[in-house]
Amino acid sequence: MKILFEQSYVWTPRDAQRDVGFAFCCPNDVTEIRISLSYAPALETEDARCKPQVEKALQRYYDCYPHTLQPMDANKFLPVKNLITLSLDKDGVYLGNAHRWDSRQEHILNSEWASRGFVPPKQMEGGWAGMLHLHEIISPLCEAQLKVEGRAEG
Amino acid sequence: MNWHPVELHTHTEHSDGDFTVRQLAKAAKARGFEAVALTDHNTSSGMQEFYKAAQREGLIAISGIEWTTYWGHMLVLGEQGYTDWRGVQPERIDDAIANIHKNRGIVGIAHPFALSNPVNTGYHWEFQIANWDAVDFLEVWSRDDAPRKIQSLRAFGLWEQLLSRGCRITATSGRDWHREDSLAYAHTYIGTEQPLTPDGIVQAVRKGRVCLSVGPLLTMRIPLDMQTCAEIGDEIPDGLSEVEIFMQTHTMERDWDRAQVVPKEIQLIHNGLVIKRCAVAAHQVLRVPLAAGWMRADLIGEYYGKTEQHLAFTNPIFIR
Repeated sequence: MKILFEQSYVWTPRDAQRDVGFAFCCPNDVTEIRISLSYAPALETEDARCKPQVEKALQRYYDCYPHTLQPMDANKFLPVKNLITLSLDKDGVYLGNAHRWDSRQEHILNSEWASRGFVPPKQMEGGWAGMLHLHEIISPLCEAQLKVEGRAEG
Repeated sequence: MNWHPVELHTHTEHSDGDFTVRQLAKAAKARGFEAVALTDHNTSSGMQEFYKAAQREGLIAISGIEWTTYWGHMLVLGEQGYTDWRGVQPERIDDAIANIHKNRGIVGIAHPFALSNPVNTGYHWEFQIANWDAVDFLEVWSRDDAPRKIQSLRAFGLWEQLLSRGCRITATSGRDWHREDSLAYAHTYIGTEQPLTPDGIVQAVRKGRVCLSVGPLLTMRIPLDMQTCAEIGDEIPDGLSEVEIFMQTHTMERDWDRAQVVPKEIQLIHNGLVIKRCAVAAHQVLRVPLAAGWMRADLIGEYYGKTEQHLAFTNPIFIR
């Protein structure tokens, strides 16, 4: 396997709701790529950090309606998960997004088959682009690793 | 007009659902749906498999995707082409909607007032829509127990506000179906004269030929002369109208509990006000004067022990 792209990231809550782009080139002998994305922590277990934000979300949900109409306990929503997803383009064509909660993800694509969330590209060779979507970063530090490996023919 | 139960908001393991594509099709068939839109988060990678699975089950498959952004979730149905969901800033959503329409798709705001970050990411609608006329539908009821939820009351309030501003936006319900369970959900019914097709469903939603219910199906029409009727979603002139109301209880029978959904009253709502109340009946005719605006029928009753709940409602007939 050839490493086509490798990057580490450290994000904070200020990075939430931000897209992080990446790009790599696939040489002509590569017939399949494997994209590994992992981030930690997967969830934030520090209640003191999460609970005020959940309570704020509940307040926004209730707006001016009485809580008795639909009682909800902030504790029920703890712990809170960080959520990072990955989308891909090949030659400017959108291939999809793996919108799942897994903090360790592996996506395999070749010209005939793709992991769930993606459609196969017409050809492997050439320029690829992707984005990491930081839907939620609630932990004070969230570390991520992204690696793209290419399997060469033969 | 024939009314068909459809589900317009579903997920599979192509995003964060537990269903395989085949399991979703089988579950939809078992519940009694006639058509299903697959709306995985930010991907349509399951569609080819879904077309085949739906065909095997005798279901109509509608292509879809749920834009799952930081500023809201938006259902896109029937788009022929692709509009990029990424990087659309809150104030630029109208441009994206225009492009989806150019690609013959329709858009609907999913669960606009749901509990959002950090619990559910981007669920609360924050996009700044300049032209609400461009939004085809609004998911007024979302997920289980919809009539009793505050998010439904807020969405219903927004819908009525928009109708009263002259927007012809269609109310829908969305199961937001990720996995099989035994919770109580609402149903969306599509009205068509023609046999059900994916494009016919998209056009019916756009036209407002939609009714919602957690139990019996409530529909209405207004006879215009001996041959023609104004149907839900149509426009009629103002004046005295005879509104025919139908309540059908033998519908989606495997998917609601008659002991927990007890109809008590039918109401006609005209420009936000109740103008007529009557007892429930399978068929009745109500004579009402209608001014410019909109008019809809509601079925009110007991829902899982709570009284005075919306059990079903139609989209409006519009009055010029």
